[in-house]
Amino acid sequence: MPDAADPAAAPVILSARNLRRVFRLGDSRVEALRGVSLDVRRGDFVAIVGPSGSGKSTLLHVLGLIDSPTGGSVAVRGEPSHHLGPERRAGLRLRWLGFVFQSFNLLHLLTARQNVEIALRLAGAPRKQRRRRAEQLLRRVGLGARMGHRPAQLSGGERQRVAIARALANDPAVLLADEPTGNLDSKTGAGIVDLLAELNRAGQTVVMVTHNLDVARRAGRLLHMRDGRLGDAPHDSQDA
Amino acid sequence: MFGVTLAQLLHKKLRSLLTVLGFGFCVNLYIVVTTVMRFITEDLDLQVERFRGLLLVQSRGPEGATGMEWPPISSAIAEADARRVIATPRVHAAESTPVVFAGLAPPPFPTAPPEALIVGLDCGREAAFLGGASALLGANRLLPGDRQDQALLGVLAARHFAPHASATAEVPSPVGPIALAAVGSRISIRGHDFQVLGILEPETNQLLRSCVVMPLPAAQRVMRQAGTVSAILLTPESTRDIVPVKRAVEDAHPELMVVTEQQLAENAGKLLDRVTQLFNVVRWTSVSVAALLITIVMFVAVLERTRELGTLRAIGAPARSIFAMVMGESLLISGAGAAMGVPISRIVIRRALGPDAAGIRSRRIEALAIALLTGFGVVASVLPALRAVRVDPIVALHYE
Repeated sequence: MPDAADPAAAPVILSARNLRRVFRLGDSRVEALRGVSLDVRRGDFVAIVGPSGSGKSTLLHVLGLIDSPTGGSVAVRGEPSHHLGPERRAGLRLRWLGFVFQSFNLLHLLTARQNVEIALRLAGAPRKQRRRRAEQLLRRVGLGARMGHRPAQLSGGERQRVAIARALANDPAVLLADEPTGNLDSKTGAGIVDLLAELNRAGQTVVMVTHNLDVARRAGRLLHMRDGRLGDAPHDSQDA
Repeated sequence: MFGVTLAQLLHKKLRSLLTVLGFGFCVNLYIVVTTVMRFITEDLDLQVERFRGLLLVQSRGPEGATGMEWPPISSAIAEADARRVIATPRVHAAESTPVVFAGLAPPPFPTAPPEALIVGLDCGREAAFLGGASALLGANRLLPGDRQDQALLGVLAARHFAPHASATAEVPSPVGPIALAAVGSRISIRGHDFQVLGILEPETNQLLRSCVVMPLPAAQRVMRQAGTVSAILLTPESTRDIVPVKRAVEDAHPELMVVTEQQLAENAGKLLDRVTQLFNVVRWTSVSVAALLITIVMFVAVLERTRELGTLRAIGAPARSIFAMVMGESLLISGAGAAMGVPISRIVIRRALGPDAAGIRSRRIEALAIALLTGFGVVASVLPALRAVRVDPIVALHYE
């Protein structure tokens, strides 16, 4: 639960220090992150906004240990990750980080329940526990009646809810959402943000990347990304 | 992850089915070829065993010169010479006979004698060729005297003549009831009429299963080779007489060669070596094709699923889970292929070898084929599985 009395007293569970990420595209060199530092505390709902190409998705990937920074370091629950191999990083992702992607990235041959179960299966949960937990999470995201449906049989909003349920499967320390409303209409997108906000109120730490300022404003903490640099953004900004 | 694997296989039904069929065909081929190889080896051993202690005299013709032709159909010896050879000292004349060998039907498989093989010999001396073979139906010996229209049939020959026999009898066999020329029925061999006196017990060897035993003059008449025989079966009086008899015959008849049991075994071994080489090529080709098939199919599957694999890696799937998923799929395909290949091979063996299929099917060969091909299939999946493991999780996001 967030520390309502003093949010700054909550422990830091995800921190980044002086992150740099350089991509080489042929002869050209693109600096996507230029010394980004960030602390995410337990119970935070952080939104990172910025125009396309500002580096916000790259930042989320690096924070989520999917991508490796060219320089700097990321620590999950105080454990630095820069010296870890791919398997240990995968282990940290599985245990402590939950991902929600813009395109949902569900396994299209599996049902909603199986998609949620797979994260639990990877973590080694027993079969009965997997099933119970998957059903509980799907009910929580409002899909109690759609558990046996495959992604193709679900609407965009429902798919994203399944993705959120999957991300929550292993009770992650941080939920990382990359443009979670990017492929949804505004009404459905609002529903997804409502769900993220509700999860946050229940204690789930959320870091969300979006280019939609209206969506970002629902977060408790708004950060602005521009040209690979991160800064605070005023809540009354008009343009992401 | 088994659920994902199964879902993938079921999703690509046609491809999965074709792969399983292809793999099953390879398993089938391996089992059939190995079984036939084993059958040939055992049968040649039995044939050699049957002629233990006997000497086979044949001409030094183009084939006879090497002694590799078995039975020596192309060998030709004047009957008068053959009679003189039988009169050689230390030869048990009552158990020795000139023989006419002549093929009436092609062999059912390499190294086998013709499916119907004329064996003309002196009446009363059938034991030189038949040994102690008993009869399945009727008699196991020709009638003494001058009657020429009599024949004893091996079970394959009896089946060969059944369609044109005056009467047939059905006998049970491992491949179901088969129709044979009945005992007492009349059959026609190259325009000559014969009465079937008996059907020989099939649990012998391929030579005896194929034979059409008849009096020597009858065989010469059918083959239009009066005064000529193919070979001579000599029974020395004792095993100590084998070498002296061989020497005496070859000294007196330089145009003839005497093949001992040991030489017969050596020739059989050489024949087997040739066939084994060919069969081994087929066997290892089937293993290679199975492995290649699995490699290609799994590579395609991995490439198709880059996004899903990337997603799984992104949400934290360890490399071993991805590896196991691909290997599991390969194992399922191989297992299903093996499950399909084994029963098919049983059908093929039955159809190819007919009544000879009795006791041929070997669970050991089937188990070996399953283990070997599945093993190779799984090993062949290692590269695609490693490729799957190397999928960068960031790839899943690049698809967006």
